Amino acid sequence: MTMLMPAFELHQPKTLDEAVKLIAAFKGDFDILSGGTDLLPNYKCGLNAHKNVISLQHIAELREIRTGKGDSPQKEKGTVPFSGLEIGGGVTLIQLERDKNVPASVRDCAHHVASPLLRESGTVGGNLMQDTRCHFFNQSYFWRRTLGYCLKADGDRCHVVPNLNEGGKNVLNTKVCVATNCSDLAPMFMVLGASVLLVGPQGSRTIPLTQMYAGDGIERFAIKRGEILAKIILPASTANWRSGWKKLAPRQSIDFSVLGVAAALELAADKSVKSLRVGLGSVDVRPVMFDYGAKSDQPAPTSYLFVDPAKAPPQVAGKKLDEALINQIADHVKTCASPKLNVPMEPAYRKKMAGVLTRRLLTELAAG
Amino acid sequence: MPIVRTSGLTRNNQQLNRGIPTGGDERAADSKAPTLTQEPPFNIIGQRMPLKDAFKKVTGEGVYTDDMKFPGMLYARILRSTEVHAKIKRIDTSKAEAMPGVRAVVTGKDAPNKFGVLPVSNDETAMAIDKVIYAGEPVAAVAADSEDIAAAAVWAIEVEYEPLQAFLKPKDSLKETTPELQLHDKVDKAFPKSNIHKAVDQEFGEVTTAFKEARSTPNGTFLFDGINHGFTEPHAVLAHWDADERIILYTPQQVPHYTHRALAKVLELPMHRINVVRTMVGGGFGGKSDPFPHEMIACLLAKRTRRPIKLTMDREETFLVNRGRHPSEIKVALAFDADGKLTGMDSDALIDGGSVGSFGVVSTYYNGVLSNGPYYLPAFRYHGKRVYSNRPASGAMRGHGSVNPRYATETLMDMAAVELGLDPCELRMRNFLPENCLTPFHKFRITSNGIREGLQEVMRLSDWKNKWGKMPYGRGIGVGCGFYISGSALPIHWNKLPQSTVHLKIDMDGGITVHSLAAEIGQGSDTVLAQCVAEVLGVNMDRIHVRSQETDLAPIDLGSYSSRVTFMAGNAARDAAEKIRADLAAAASKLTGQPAKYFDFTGEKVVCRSKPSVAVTFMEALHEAQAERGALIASGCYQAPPLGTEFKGSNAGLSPSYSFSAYICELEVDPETGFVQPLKIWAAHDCGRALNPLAVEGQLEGSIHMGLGQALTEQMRYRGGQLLNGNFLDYKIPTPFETPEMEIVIVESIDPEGPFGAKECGEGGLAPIIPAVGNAIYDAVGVRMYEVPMTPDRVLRAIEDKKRLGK
Ligand SMILES: Cc1cc2nc3c(=O)[nH]c(=O)nc-3n(C[C@H](O)[C@H](O)[C@H](O)COP(=O)(O)OP(=O)(O)OC[C@H]3O[C@@H](n4cnc5c(N)ncnc54)[C@H](O)[C@@H]3O)c2cc1C
Ligand code: SF4
Repeated sequence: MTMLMPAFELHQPKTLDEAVKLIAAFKGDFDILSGGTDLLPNYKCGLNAHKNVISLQHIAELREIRTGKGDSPQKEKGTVPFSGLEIGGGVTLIQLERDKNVPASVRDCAHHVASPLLRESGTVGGNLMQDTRCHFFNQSYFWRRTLGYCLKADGDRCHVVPNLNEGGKNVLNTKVCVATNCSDLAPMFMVLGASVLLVGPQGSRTIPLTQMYAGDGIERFAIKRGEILAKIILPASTANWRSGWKKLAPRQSIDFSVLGVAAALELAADKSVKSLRVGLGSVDVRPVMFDYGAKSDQPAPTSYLFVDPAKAPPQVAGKKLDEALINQIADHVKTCASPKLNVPMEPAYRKKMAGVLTRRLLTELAAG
Repeated sequence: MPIVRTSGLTRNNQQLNRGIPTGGDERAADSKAPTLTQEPPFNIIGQRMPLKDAFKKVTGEGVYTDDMKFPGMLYARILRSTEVHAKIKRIDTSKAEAMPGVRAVVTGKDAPNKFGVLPVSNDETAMAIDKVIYAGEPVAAVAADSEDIAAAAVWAIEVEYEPLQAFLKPKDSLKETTPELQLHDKVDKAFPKSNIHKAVDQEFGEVTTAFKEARSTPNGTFLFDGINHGFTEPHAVLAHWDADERIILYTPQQVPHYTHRALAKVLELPMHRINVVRTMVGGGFGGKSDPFPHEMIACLLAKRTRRPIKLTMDREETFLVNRGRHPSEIKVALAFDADGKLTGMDSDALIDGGSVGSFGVVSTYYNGVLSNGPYYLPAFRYHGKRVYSNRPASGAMRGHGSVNPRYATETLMDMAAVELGLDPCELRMRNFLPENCLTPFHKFRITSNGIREGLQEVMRLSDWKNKWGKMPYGRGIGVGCGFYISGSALPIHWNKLPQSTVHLKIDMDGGITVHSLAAEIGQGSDTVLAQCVAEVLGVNMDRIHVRSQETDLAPIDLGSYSSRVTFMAGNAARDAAEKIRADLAAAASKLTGQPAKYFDFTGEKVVCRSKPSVAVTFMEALHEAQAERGALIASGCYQAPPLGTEFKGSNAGLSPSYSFSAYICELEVDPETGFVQPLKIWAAHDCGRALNPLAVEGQLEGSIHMGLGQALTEQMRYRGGQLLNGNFLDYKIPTPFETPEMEIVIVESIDPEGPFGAKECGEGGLAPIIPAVGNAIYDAVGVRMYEVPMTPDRVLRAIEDKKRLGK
């Protein structure tokens, strides 16, 4: 009923520098717009709209995909070494799925995002930075007003986890939001060891993608508001890994994932596992990754609230990825996944499917 | 012997012509073939032709209400209840009225007269008065200079509510309650203190004996989520109170006539001061066939401001207006003898009507009585209740009232076949009603019936015999059958008027204008009327102009619902054309000296049958006929013959003719995820005669697509009284990926009373697909699905339960 676009001022900088200046000038009252397929529907629902919208559409440098061949690494000092592939934040999903230099698994993943029309506008940066989703949030103003709003917009309650167990105590109306991160590309890029180049008023830096997300549905990022995702950098080191993607969604087009599973596998010469990473999307407030081959015996952190840390990850390094090991990993993934009842399909079902899809995907990767 | 013809559309829209011919001679030689005024060969009838409005639609030239603009036009928005069930303590509109650009604010008190589509349940008002009964009910409305102003102004209206206990489970609505908690002051007479809108009890034949003596008595309780029509065009209306003190309402209505009546009641105006103009309809499926509060609201604002008012809804509001298929709990038991003959049925339906009556009285009857076919049923017991609840209203939706019980019956038929060791198709064959019969109790008059031929053909095409029960785990094939009315034989408003009237006007330009109030809602009613007229007069389609929009111009027709237009308005159009034809034949006779009865009308000529060299052109005959008289005009009509019998409610389900369908679906079930992927559907439908096979195929493919949505993905989900998924992202209409290849088999049984032998094909084709899917799931993985839609989590749970319980 109030699906009318709220008024805002649209800014269309031509360079990253200009964009960064605008960001600095608006002191928080702005949003970055890329393809707009995530931001603008939320605006129409009256969700946290701002007065200034800074479009990245006319910044040519954001729209390129470059292979690392012979190029010098980014001048910026980053924590991650030079890359095999640099994908601009403004690259559209159609561009990504059609580019032959992009790993097949990533192209496949991009191809299954939303629908062809949305992929024409939707961008890689927007996909990774998209807002978290929840039944009680992605609704019209009328709807949310009827419910009484929620923490993530206009309200003071969460309807998904109205009370939580914190330190053995039942706490009512915590300020915790468990809205689900439904980005398909995020877990896919994560398992390939992607890092991101961020450009903001305070300068630019490169960080691993896994460190970009924070553990709350409202405070979604561990980076500063106004940092532009300029590039996704895929390291050359994972270029030869086997990788793949499986998506669970009610329909085969249009729909967000209710579960996404990405995996990347590095095999030693004797076919034993050197590295194995599994990424999960749409089960938590952020994309989740398990790095089974990592030196430390702790998998990468998942949701800070719901995971049972007692469940130890299986050891995989040096082992053969056979049926038994695959089942062990699938079981671990299933146990750790903690989907919430705020996107379509029951959490218990999605949790079970996390195991099934992981097993299927790893079986495919093991077969080569 | 009905004629079967097949054609199939593959996904890339190539046409497979299976080449079973529909030779006119075969039919003429058929002893059972009825006598029609027009015998084949035909010029226009039976030809594949695009719908008359197709080009306007695909080029974007078609004008929908929201495309229209008038000078000085204002925009309206509705304030909707944010409470599920509450008393309205106070409404203060002063802040909204004071906003710049706001021109008028109206509330429920401005139009207290009640209305509703059925005279027996006039329980709606334009806006809530004193009480709101669902989240989303209109409470007030604003007209302003822009949509933004109107949208802001509605939230400036202050409403103080006092919440009441909400009725969200149908079982709660059955209980006795206080008058304050009754949703309406008028409820079913037998349950005066409840929220039961309508109760129906019928028992015929020896039901108890049938069950006592039965060899097989499959039974089950089936749950159905509510579903919405999901038409493309959201509701949009435009009203203008003009300088002549008349109200003109532009509205994409399926039934302009009922809106016309309701407006007169609410606005307290004589009908002749109201002109209802049906605009292009972007899909209806039953969801645009009630007179609606928003139509009243636009008129009230137009009256207040004397300026044109446009009111366009968004998708969520359209979902809240709803009138979709009832959420239902249906308990059915069937009795069979050792030969697989159906001997009895006992069924109990509890259907959730939501906030208002709508078509609900009819729905309550249909949920029971439409189980008296396509099988012979010698004993029948039905208890049906429709309750009011604090949710958006259910109403009529494609296959009205027949779809959910059909799923239950067809599933139980399958269970009986398994138990009795019979092929499910064979079991059905043993039970089909014959042609030319009356059903034992309700006296449904079955004239033509091509269901046997249809089922045989889809069995053959699908290779049923080699597939059923013989495919690997995870792959299955299933069957479902059904039948449906070709229009209701009795009108909603009791009167002696014909159900359809059509006027024709032909002037010296040779153009033929067809005036009718049958609403073109995308189903092709304009085209079918034009075809009927063109065939009788032997002219090309481009001469025919259908004007089916305005109540000012068109004779009354009861509109586009219950699959009545082709049968009833088609017959009326033919009737009118016959009258013109007689005039033209007389003129040709005058010009040639041959007796009038010897003339054939074909290829734009009037030709003497015995001497084909003696002929005049259509235009020559026309000009002769017009001499000293001017334009030719004629009025034709249709009224259903007296049918049925006499007991309370015996008119429900009566129709001058019934369509029949038999579907087979092959699919794959992923036993680990529960996902179901339909692979192919073979669908046979007996539509009497396909006046335009292209349109028939379109209707059937559309029905199947819609039915697949209900079968697998579509459901209206609620949190308390709030609809959770009132948008097209979260309400899961199947995409092309979920829609398999379909092979459509048109069965032509040539109905004796339908125009050129035609009967319905717009609704009956929906119901059979759902049980065909359910039965195929059983064939694939051995589980019966008692909940619809059969979503992956439900299918998986059934598979796991079976593993765990070993049954
Ligand atoms: C019907 C529908 C279905 C969808 N299905 C899927 C799906 O299946 N899988 C999936 O992953 N997503 C899905 N989406 C979500 C989303 O639209 C797409 O993922 C898309 O890629 C988002 O890109 P965008 O450029 O349109 O983002 P925008 O809407 O422009 O931006 C999204 C957010 O990211 C921020 N942002 C964008 N670019 C940058 C940048 N370079 N630097 C910093 N911040 C930035 C914006 O400020 C905004 O907050 C769907 C959306 C819709 C409407
Ligand atoms: S999970 Fe977040 S968005 Fe959902 S209801 Fe809770 S606070 Fe709101």
